[in-house]
Amino acid sequence: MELLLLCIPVIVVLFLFNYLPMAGIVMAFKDFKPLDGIWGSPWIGMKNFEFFVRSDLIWNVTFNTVMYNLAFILLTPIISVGFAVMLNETGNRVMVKAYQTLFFLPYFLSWVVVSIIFYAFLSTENGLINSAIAVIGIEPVSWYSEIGAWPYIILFAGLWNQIGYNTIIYYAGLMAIDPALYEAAAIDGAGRWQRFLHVTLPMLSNLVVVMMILGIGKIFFADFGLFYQLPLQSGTLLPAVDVINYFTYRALMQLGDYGMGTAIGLYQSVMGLILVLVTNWLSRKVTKGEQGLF
Amino acid sequence: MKRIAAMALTVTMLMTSVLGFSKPVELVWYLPGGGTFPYTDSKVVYDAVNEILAKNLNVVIDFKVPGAPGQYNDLMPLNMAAGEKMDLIFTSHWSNNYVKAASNGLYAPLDTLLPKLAPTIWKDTKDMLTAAKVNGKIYGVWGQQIAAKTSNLNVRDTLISKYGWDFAKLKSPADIEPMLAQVKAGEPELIPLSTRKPVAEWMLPYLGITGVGILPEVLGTRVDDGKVKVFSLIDDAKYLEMVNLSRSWYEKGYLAKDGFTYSNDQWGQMKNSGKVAFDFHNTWKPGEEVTPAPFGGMLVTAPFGQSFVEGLSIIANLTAVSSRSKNIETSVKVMEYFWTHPEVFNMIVWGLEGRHYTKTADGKIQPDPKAGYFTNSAYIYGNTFLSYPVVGSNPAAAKMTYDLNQRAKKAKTMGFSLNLDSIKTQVAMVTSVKDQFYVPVVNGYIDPVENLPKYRAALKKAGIDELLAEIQKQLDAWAKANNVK
Amino acid sequence: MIEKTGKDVLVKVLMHGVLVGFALFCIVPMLVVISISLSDEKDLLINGYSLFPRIFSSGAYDYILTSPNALLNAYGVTILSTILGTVFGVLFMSMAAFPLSRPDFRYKGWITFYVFFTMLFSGGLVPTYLVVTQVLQLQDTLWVLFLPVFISAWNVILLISFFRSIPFEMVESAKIDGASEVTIYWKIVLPMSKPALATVALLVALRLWNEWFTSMLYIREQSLVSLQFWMQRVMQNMQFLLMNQDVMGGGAALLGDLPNESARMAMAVLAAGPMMFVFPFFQKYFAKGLMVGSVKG
Repeated sequence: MELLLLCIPVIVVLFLFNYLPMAGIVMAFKDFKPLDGIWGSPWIGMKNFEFFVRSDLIWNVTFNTVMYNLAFILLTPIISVGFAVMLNETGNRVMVKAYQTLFFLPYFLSWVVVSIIFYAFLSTENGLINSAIAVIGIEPVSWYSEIGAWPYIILFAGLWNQIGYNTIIYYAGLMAIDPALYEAAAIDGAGRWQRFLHVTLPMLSNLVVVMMILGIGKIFFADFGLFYQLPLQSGTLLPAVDVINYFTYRALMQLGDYGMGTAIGLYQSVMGLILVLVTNWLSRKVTKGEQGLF
Repeated sequence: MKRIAAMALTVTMLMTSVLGFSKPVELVWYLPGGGTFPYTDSKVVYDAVNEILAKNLNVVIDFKVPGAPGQYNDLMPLNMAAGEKMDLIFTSHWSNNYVKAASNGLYAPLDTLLPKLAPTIWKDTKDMLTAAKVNGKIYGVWGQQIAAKTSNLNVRDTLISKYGWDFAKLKSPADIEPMLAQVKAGEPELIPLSTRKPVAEWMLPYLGITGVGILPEVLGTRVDDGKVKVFSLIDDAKYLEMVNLSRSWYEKGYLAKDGFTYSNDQWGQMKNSGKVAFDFHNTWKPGEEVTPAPFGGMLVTAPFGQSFVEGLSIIANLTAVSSRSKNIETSVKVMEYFWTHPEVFNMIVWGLEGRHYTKTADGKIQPDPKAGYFTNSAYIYGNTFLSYPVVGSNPAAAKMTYDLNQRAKKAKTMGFSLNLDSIKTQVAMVTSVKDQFYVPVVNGYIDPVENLPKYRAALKKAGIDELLAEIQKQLDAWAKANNVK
Repeated sequence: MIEKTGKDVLVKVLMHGVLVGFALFCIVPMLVVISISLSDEKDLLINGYSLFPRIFSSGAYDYILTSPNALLNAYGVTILSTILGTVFGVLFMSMAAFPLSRPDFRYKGWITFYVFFTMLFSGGLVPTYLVVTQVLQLQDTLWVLFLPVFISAWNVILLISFFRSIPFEMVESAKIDGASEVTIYWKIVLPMSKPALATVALLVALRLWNEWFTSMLYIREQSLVSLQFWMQRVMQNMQFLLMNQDVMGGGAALLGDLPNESARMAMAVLAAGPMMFVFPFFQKYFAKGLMVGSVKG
């Protein structure tokens, strides 16, 4: 069928750059020796997973990863859809463009740069926050040792980074809604809020559900830059900010073991796949086949 | 007719090979790029170097600098695993791990080749090269530089003259405490003591403690210990003295409150700009006690305590030959050539005279960092003693360094290499624990009384006892085989 | 006509308030970045960061622009790979998303899963490196700067989602009129999806513009490195010198002028800057009302 032909370029590109290398996943079960190459290296079963499974920290690290991601998955659509709708409602084209451009700025800054900016605020001696609270007489806080604050700091930074990006996506989704629907609702006497509830949300729901399921697929993966750079590698904060990718990176720094690295990647992928399949099935069941990824 | 043609062909071929009219042999040399940008003249310099090499050795070198300097460590194992063509390779313990690659058979053993093809290198460094032995064989050439480790103190000369300090009587780190107090009182904008690394870490030479090749922040052995016993550093009484000293200094305000968040290069800059008053270090370079500091002024170095050479000093900068290279012997010859010919060595390190540096009347050079080629890292290229002295440095320093290396005691564990295969899991787990506790606790940022027990408990859970047992086993076997007392 | 009431105005004011608030959060950091990039390095070291430069200095930009050719080259390479990757990326991905959004496409489930699977599973660094260098021989080419990354499952799925909002009746009526699938794709679906296409194009363009990993792994030829990678190398060269000054001996005195902190910020500005100008170009496609009258037509 002609439709199949349209899919060919994507199928070929993904095959070359994603599926061919995937054969190398076997490294997760091998003791990789460079001279023997991937195929010649000896099999060692599940041994590469050992350090991750035996370590006490794996529970904490996995918990952190999943919880942060869950927060992002829930909060990002709420805030981004909210902003997209607000942008839409203000109606002024120039303002909308200006807001969208500004909201996107955080995405451009690398985490290295962002961590420096946060430092300007959070620094113990000259930081803006400590200077501000000193005015009301509170003692300066050593933020980079204060574990309790960091889940919020990370959440704030992660959301701040992603919101511009997501707002644009949902805004595009809003563009696709037929204005006639809004007019019809208005004629029926629906106010702003009701139009939002009964027209906007249902029409956007497919997009939101897809984005959320995609997020769930990645729930075991962490944005390495965020967790590595922002806390400025303060050891004391690790229990709050250590995530799977960061943990693996540090643990393997001395060893440089590709097999172990691949093993953990495989673990993250498999867990993500299971969750997506489950969530997709649930989503289809609950909405009677309407919403879902496939 | 055909026979004459065939004969002519054979004769020509014989002639070209004998007379060396054949194409020069192409070698590939992988190095970490280090040096200011603009690096725009690298091609010009490499061409000039190759001109000389082609003429004298019938060799040309393709100098490959993969990625940015910090990425060398990520890219080299990848390139080696993928079987990229390479002949000479920079390798060390801090980038492109030497022991790991050598144990995996990626480097060619040089024991027999060096005495034969690189007699000068062999004569100059053969004692030190025992430290580069992996499973009994040498796999790299050491880039001859300061090897002895000595705890020392760096201070700005302006502060010394202001407060009239005398470091001749400096015996231990605690001796500087009154001076720290003076700085805290009299220089409020300065950080009294740098905490780029914890005091305890800089004091390892002073304490006579060396490492086993991995996890230097956690494990140690005594330099003089013939029984080569390995122990966890936080179980050593003298090490703990240093930790407590750091803690008391933190409480007295001599340490930057956020010091643990500053990166290495930030500390470097603070030292340069004079924002830091005191800085410890573990490498004292004899003859360079007073050096010009960036941003003006002079930096004074005061050593104290013993000096010794340890395995890591040598493994800090090695050049290896790829085991899959088709030109192993030529590569060794090339290294010997760089070792013994100042002209070409300085060309690859400093660039072209007149263009990248100027020579002064007394034989020193003044490099121009902005001229397009400035590596300032002779240790990557080989024999640093061969480098032209830079203005502001002491030309006698090379000889003094060599002498210090020779007379400093050698750590008993020199030459030992660790096989990680059976303890990979524990190494990974202990590393995670170290990441959480080392900097805050050993630097004194959090209370050791409360946290050292936590640290110890976490290490135990991570399997440090198994780690120590396995390492001790390997040490004992090695000591026996090498008659170490 | 939707009427304006007093409550209406209040709601609008509140909304603007929230939007402005967040906008401030976004712009203030950028101002700090610009400010640091224009500050004197020594002053930064001694006195820390501030919102406006205490001592103005163009040192960071001077340093980076010492070799304008290399910088321009990196810009050129990155612009080229970004344009190629974006145009072909959006083309190929929308071509695939169209069938996958159709309820009547037999292989929809399988191919969607095929695409999605790549989002979660990866062979890792070594196998990918081997495929790109040994099987495909793409090292030191312009292609390697975008080919491995310009098709992403995430964007395909996003497009599928957008295309699903096009009523199937339109496609059916076109087919009844005898139109081929390609014609429907080109003449109906694409024009109706301008906001979606512009969004995905923007995302792909940004991704490619910021891409540095492929340069690090696969490019040795200095004239082919991407902008972000080039900047990283400049930064790391500086850091290398600063970290190793103890080892370097006499040469350390020459390091005084290195604008480490300010250059890092200057590079952030130079990297983000151009995108700010490209943004409005995409924004003009985020227009409403393309669906009006579509079903009736």
